[in-house]
Amino acid sequence: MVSPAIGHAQTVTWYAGQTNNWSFGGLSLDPRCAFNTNWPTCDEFASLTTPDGTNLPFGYAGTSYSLAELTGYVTLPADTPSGMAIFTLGLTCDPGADEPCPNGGDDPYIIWQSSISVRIVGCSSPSIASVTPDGWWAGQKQNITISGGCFLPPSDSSSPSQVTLTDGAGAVTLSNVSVVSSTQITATVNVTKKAPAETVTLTVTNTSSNGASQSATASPAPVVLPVPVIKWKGNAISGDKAKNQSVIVGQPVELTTTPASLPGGFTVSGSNWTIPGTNVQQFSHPNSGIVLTPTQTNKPNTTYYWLYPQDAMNVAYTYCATDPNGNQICESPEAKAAFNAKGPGTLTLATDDSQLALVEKLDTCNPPGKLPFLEYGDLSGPAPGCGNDEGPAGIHLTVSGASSGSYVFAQVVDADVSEYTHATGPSPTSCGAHAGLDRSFPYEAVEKQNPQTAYDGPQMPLFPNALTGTRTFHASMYLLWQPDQLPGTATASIPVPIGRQDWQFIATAVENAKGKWERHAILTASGDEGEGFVPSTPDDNAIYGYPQWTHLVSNVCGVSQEVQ
Amino acid sequence: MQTYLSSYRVLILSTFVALSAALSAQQARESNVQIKNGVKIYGPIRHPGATSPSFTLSIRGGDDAGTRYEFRVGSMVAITISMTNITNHDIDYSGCSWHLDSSYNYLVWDEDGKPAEKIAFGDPDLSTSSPYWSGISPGKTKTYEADLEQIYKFDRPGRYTVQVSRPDYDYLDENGKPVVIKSNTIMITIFD
Repeated sequence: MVSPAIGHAQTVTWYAGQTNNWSFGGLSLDPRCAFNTNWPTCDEFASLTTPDGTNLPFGYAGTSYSLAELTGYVTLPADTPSGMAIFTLGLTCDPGADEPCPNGGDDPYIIWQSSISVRIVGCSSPSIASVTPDGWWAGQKQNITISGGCFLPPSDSSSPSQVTLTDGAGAVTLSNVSVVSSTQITATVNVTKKAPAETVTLTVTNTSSNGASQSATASPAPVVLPVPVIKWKGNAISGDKAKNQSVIVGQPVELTTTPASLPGGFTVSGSNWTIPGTNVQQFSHPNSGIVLTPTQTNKPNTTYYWLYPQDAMNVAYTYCATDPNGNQICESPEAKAAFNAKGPGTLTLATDDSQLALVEKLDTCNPPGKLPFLEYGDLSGPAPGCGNDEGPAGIHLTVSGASSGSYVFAQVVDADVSEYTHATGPSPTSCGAHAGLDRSFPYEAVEKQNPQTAYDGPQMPLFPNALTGTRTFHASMYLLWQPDQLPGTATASIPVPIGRQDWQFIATAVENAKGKWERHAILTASGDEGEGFVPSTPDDNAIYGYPQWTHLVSNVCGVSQEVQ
Repeated sequence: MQTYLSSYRVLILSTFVALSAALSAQQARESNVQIKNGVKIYGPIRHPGATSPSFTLSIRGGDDAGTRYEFRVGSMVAITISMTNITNHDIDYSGCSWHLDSSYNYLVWDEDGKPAEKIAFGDPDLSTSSPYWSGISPGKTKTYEADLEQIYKFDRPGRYTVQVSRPDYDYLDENGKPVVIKSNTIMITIFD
């Protein structure tokens, strides 16, 4: 009943991705249990097994049966690898409770089986679905995975799939190629540090022993993502051979980068600057106080100012790229540029205190008359609002030490109180000024021809029926330095903080027994106050040592206040 | 005495009124500082006898962009004044920090064309001051941001017209008085 195996001696060739015919001839099978009958306990089986025991998937169908020949076909998946396999076809019986096997027995048995040797011609046309990652950083060795189909492993009789790549710059090499499976290849790519932005042609090739090689090229093509380059004044300043750059505090540092664009549908989708030292992007000085804008660090180009001198500051830049499928690849190798930020040198601010506290009658204009003022200095002429008086000011602050650029002064009045005592009345009168910026930024009372000298001469009107008038005035004169305009740019330089000098004026004017104001007031204190010239530091306040104010100095003397 | 004090209160708007005779005879002064007997004497730069204005004035909104013309009641009402030297020599830029810079006249009218209400500073006005003496180089411009809220009440919503003027002490009229140079006018809106 059992036919001889037809077998291994017979070798047929089947092709992956195709429907392949098979036939077994010379059969002698129980007609009750033929492949095309409905004997209930009979069942057919088929397998396709490689020499190492791996079962290969296939589609099977019998087509016709006769006692002389059994035919059918097998469909192999497209990615079936090349190699030898055994195709086995058989017929078994597994008797049920009420249904015997054709042999009448109660035990299962193989009615018939036979095998043929099959030489499988594997995939002829590989395909590439993706390459991960598809952006390769210059200067780095990266492992990549190629996903697709029809990759031929080393065991394939047609030899494994070959992976090749080409790039215009010859900057990319491939190693460690391994066909892991028919759907996956791993490899290592090594990109030279100076590789430009370019696409890479990556190809998987299946050689064939019985026909032309077939290949597939990754699309979209992987892209080499170059090491970014930092540029200043149009020159590259990053990289191994880059020299330290010298800048001046307060001058704009306008940095650009490459790559600005990428090939192959890739885009530069993210940027990150690391900028050490104290720096800002913008400086403005409305009456409500100095406003500093933080340096923008998330754009490919940035402009900023260093505020304090410091050497060997490494500015770093990295970027991210987005591939055509929207996948972000972060982050690039770092571009570094070293800067030395230079200041104006050591600046000193000398204070010249006139020690003059005088009472002067100034000319009122409507109607003409005179009104006494307590002055720090010796000014004469029109009263406030009636023109410009003139004379020596009370204090001069003169800076020296810078060989270029210009000095900028800003005066913040910390406290200013005027008090009067009266011959009659219940209590003294006091009024004061809100602390704040003195008139404007920059401070206007600077010598036109000698702009390194600022001065002040506070005046206080004396209450006509007062006995005494006392002025208590504390101010901080801030010194800033603004470098010259940087050649080759339209971006202005900004003033940077240098330091401050606190000063004071405390004096009392006294009316004598004759009802006349004494010419010389009692000078309690004047000139320097505190610890001398105090250099600014970034930690002085929230705006890195710049003078702080929220509004201009404003008088509240219009409404007399009673001192408790 | 009371009469005198009341008059003193109006000094802000009378800056240029009373100095005419003295100015016509003034001496030229090229710098805002001169040294006499080793002492620095500060004073205004003067080039008397000018036959045309020495400067121009313009005003705009108070923010950096010069585009802000609407202000909330109680907030700063800032305008920026630009003074440009249109001569070929330095001109004076002296003034006095007295409420605002008193070298300018700040003129504000309400929607009915009436002068806007000013803050009363007492009688007498005991506000302190600090004079300064400075200059502007030929062709250059200096700006000053003035907070009008320091001298005008602006306590009611409305639209106001603003103009600034400044006497030109070098350019005198036929009566020997300084010609008052006026800026453009701008409209500002005060809202709740």
